Parts: sequence; structure tokens; C-alpha cells
Amino acid sequence: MTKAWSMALLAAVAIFATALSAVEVGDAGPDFKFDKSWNALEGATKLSDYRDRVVLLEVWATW
Amino acid sequence: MKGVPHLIELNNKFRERGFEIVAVSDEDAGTIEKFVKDKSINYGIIKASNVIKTYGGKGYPSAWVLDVDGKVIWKGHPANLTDAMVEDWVKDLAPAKITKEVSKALRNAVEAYNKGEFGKAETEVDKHLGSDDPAVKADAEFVDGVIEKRRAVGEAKAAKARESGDLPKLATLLEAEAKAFDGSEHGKKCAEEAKTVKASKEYKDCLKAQSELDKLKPKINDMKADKAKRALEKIAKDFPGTPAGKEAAELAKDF
Repeated sequence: MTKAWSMALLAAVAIFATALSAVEVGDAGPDFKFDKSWNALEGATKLSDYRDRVVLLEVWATW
Repeated sequence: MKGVPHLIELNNKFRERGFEIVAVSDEDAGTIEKFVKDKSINYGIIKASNVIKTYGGKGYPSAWVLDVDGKVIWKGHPANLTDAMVEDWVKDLAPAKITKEVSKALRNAVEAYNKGEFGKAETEVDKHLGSDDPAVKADAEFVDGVIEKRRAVGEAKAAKARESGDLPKLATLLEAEAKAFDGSEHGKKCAEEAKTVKASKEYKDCLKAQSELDKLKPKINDMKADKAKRALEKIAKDFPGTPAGKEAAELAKDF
């Protein structure tokens, strides 16, 4: 029981830490799904579909 | 946004070589679409939500560069990306698919390459490397270069498996390469090495070690610690240098 609790706590801390900290060089880039795309790699619906390529991920806004 | 021309330029220069731009916005589709059209954007634009939060971006625009395994190799403001940096990242890449428009003579080669039949692609390319038509010759050299890089990627993976003593992985890799490069010298070489590897004592030891470790693992937490430690150490000692032997040695430290 104690072990299970400590595991749950560890997991919670890990999730919390992930939510707060930025993705840094050396980290695995989190995957995400595309809602819609223009000019994207044919057939790609999520970031991990680009695995054989080098990807420049940019977050931007039109404004 | 002044970054667009820079990204269009990077896209034009490097997309064919395996560099893909994934520019993410969470605005509504109509707004994005109008922007894409107005600015004649030709690189990948994606609508997705929460990406800036997940990645911890400080503002717009923020950028990360991911390698072929999805690992972050750079982060910063996209304006700071130079041609030289991208050149360095793509120089050893072999894209899975060639999307470049090539002359008619090379279509079969590209089609074969895109199906993963690199040996066949090589045979096709060889027919046109000496072409009198400079456009055909240039395309043949381009496809030949991609095949060459693809071969280097496979060889680098095999070298890694060879170095770490992971012979089952090496054999699997070589067999896959032999199949992909079937019909070429390289394919023949891979098939021969795979056969030699599989016939070796070291390969058989890797499999034996793995099978013993697989049998031991489900029982290990129900065993007394000293007994578990001894069982793991035995695998490590009987099969030193094998991946499972090394794993057993590591696991033994926990008991």
C-alpha cells in the first residue's frame, strides 16, 4: 500500500513538473495531433508521423 | 509576420532533403487559411491546440528543432535559424520518400525508392548516371545521393548494434537491409553478414541469455532477494557481453 501511494505521488509530481517546465534540448518532443493542416507532409496527422525527418516546430500566431 | 519569408526560404532549400517545417497555430481554421493564401506559404501549417503550453513556449513565435527520433536538438527564436545550422542537421539524412519532381527517366527509380526497394532504385539510377541530357544526369545523381545516404543510415545503425554486442538486433537489421537493397551489391553483402552473424556462437549466446532472463523476470519479485541476485548474476556471468547478460548484471545490483 505504501509503495502504491509513493508511486502515485511520484507520478503526480512528474506530471506536474512536465506541465510547468519547458521542453529543453535533449528532451523528447511531446507528440500532438493535428486538427487541420495545410502543405503538411502527405498523410501526416500527428507530429510523430515525421520521425524520419528533422522537424522545425514553430508555434506562431497570425497577429 | 516577418518570419514567413525566412521560413519559405528554408522550406525551399531544405524540404527535399528531409527538413520539415511544422508551424502550429491554434487560431480558427478560416483565419489560418486566409493567412496561408495571402502570404503564399508553402511550408507545413498545422492547426492544433495547447502546443505552446505543452512545450512551454514563452511567446509567439517560439521554435524547437527535433531530430529523426523526435529528440529536441535546438530551441529558440526561429529568426535565429541559419542555413548553416539546417545544413548541418540534414547532411546525413535520407528521407523515406523522395518528393522532388524528377525527369521522366528517373520516375521508376523514385517510385522504387519510395516503396523501400532501394536495390531496384539503384539499378534504375545506374542506367542514367551517364546520360547525355544534363537534366537527367543531375536527377540521377540526386537520387543516387539519396540512396547512398540511406545506405549510410542503415550502416550506422548496424555499426551501433555491432559495437554494443546486440547480435540479434544486428541480424534483424542486416536482414531488413538485405531485403531493401535486394538486387544490389550492398544487399548481397548484408545478407551474407546476417547469415554469418546468425551462425555465430555469440549470437546463440545472446538468444539463450535473453530466454533465461525472460523466464526469470516474472518470478523475480516473489523470490528471496539473495536467490534472485544469484540467479541474475549467473546469467550475467554465463553470458557476458550479451545485452541480456548486461541487463541481468544491472538488475542484480538492485537486490
